[in-house]
Amino acid sequence: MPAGTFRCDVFGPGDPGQSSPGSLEVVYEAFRLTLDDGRSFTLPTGGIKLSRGGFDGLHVIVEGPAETGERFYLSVQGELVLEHLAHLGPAELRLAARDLLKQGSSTRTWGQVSFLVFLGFLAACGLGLWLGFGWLVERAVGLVPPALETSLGEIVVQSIGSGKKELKQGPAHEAVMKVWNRLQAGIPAGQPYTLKIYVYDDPMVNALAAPGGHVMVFTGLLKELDSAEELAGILAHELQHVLKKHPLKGIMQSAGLAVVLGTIFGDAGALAVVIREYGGKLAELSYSRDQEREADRLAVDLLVKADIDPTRFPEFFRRLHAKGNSFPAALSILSTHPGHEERDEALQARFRTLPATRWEPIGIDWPALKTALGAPAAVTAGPASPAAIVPPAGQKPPAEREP
Amino acid sequence: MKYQIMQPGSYAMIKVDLAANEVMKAESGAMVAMHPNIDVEAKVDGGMFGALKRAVLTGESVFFQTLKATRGPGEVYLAPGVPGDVTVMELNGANHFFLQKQAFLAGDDGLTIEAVSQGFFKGLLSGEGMFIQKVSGKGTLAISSFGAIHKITLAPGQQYIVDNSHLVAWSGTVTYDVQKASSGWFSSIGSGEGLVCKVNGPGDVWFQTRNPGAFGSWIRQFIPSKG
Repeated sequence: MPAGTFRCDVFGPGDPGQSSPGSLEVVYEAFRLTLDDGRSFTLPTGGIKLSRGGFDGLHVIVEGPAETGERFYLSVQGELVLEHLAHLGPAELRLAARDLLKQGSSTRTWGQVSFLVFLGFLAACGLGLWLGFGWLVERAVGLVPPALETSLGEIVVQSIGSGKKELKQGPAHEAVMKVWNRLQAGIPAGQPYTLKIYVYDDPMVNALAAPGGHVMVFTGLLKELDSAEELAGILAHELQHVLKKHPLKGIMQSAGLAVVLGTIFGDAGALAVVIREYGGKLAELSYSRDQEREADRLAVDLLVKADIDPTRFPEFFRRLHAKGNSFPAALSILSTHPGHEERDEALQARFRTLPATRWEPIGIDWPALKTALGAPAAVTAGPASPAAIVPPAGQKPPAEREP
Repeated sequence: MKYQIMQPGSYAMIKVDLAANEVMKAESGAMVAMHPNIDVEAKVDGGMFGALKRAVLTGESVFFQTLKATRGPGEVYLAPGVPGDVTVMELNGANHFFLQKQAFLAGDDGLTIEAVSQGFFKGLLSGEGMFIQKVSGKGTLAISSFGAIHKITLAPGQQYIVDNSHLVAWSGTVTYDVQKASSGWFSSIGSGEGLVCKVNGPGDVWFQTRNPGAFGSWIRQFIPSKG
């Protein structure tokens, strides 16, 4: 296209709403308009009005009558026509062209600024939600009454236990109940739940905490343990998840903002629907690093209060770690965070602060239990339930306490 | 690009006859049926940044379909994902159009489609979203609507009122403002219209006969709230 000629969208000839493509040649004394269909018109510069228009406010609008009388409305894109007019155009249009150049510059700047403000607004909303979501979940969880939480937990237990045989007697049930009853001495007074444990005959190597005071344990886990104290440690850990409402928090976090806000504003119906729909997937729910650390730390406190040797608790993890990935991956207590080493170190540090104590053995013949459950013969099974003496770091073991 | 609108109305589709080696682009997933001479490929249009911008800001796919008549002439049938009509507009290199997000169905390969902001308040209140699509270049463009589609043509300075969420496309020369349907807030809300778009000519405006948001509200009442 020759210099001084610009493509434009032409309204005017015939139907005033219909546009036709054309080219506008800007010369000093007149504007020459040539439509793509071959028609041409001359617009004297004296009648020309320049303005900004178009959806983005950046089109250059050239309006004016042709010598033949038709009135034209031309939309030109780009700033070149204005730059040409500002320097080489007729005197009466130069000033207007310069003003429109400035106006276009400020329109573009304003557009960029508003876009950045919008992005900033989005980022602030996202950050606020990210930072505030945990706080909202805490508030929502605090508003769920324990009775409702227990009912929701029952739905979860039914979902996960569906199709599995619950054991209400026999060696596995008796062993778990013996450990469970010992742990009750360490449960803080005034906690709001009626704590319940369920034992399932299932190969899953797992123990689970469900909302509202429910703990589930599977015989697959019992077969992998080497002592009642290891089970006590795992159940204490799951109990602390329950008492700290971690399962409900986890479900809420997975359910999303709508459910959390609904609960805060008094409608727990959506939460019930979510739990009914997805309760069976609680085994796939992973807790946060902080929640796992908190459950570990408080589990040790619970074991100490119940006079159960807490140092046996990490043995199962160590054995599991040494075996690599040969265990089923579903064990939530071994969820990958915190890592095994970090977790073991934290527990060992905690053990070093404990006073030297002779712990009361739980008294279960675990190898016999494993045999009864049909587990392969144990290779590394230690004493059934030894009375462990844990000295503080750098101290000798104390004299045995009288039973 | 030779085309024919098939089954116009609520379930329209467009049949495009491609000459040998002719190339066109279409919305991802729009292909209904095609001649075996045609190859369909995914294309990141406008570079990865442009495609991501378009996808994130307007909800369109990152990819377009590229349809090429590699082994000789052939036809392809394209349809939008929602019930609605299809219409066609021509770009001559001097004009351009704005489309509400997700209105693009298909077009000549030479068309440029980009996401542009329409400003914070207009985006918030118009019902068309914060970002819309700008289509420029030279060639044929096919758009789709929710419900049927209707075009009005405005002379320079001519104004028209369109309910928000009904705008589908408009010429680049058309501007619009969002305003109350009535002079007072009470009658604006009481009339059931609330906010409307006042469009200003010159140019063409296409609007759709159904409001997707209102349809969504209507259908939600039939969805059980509990499983």
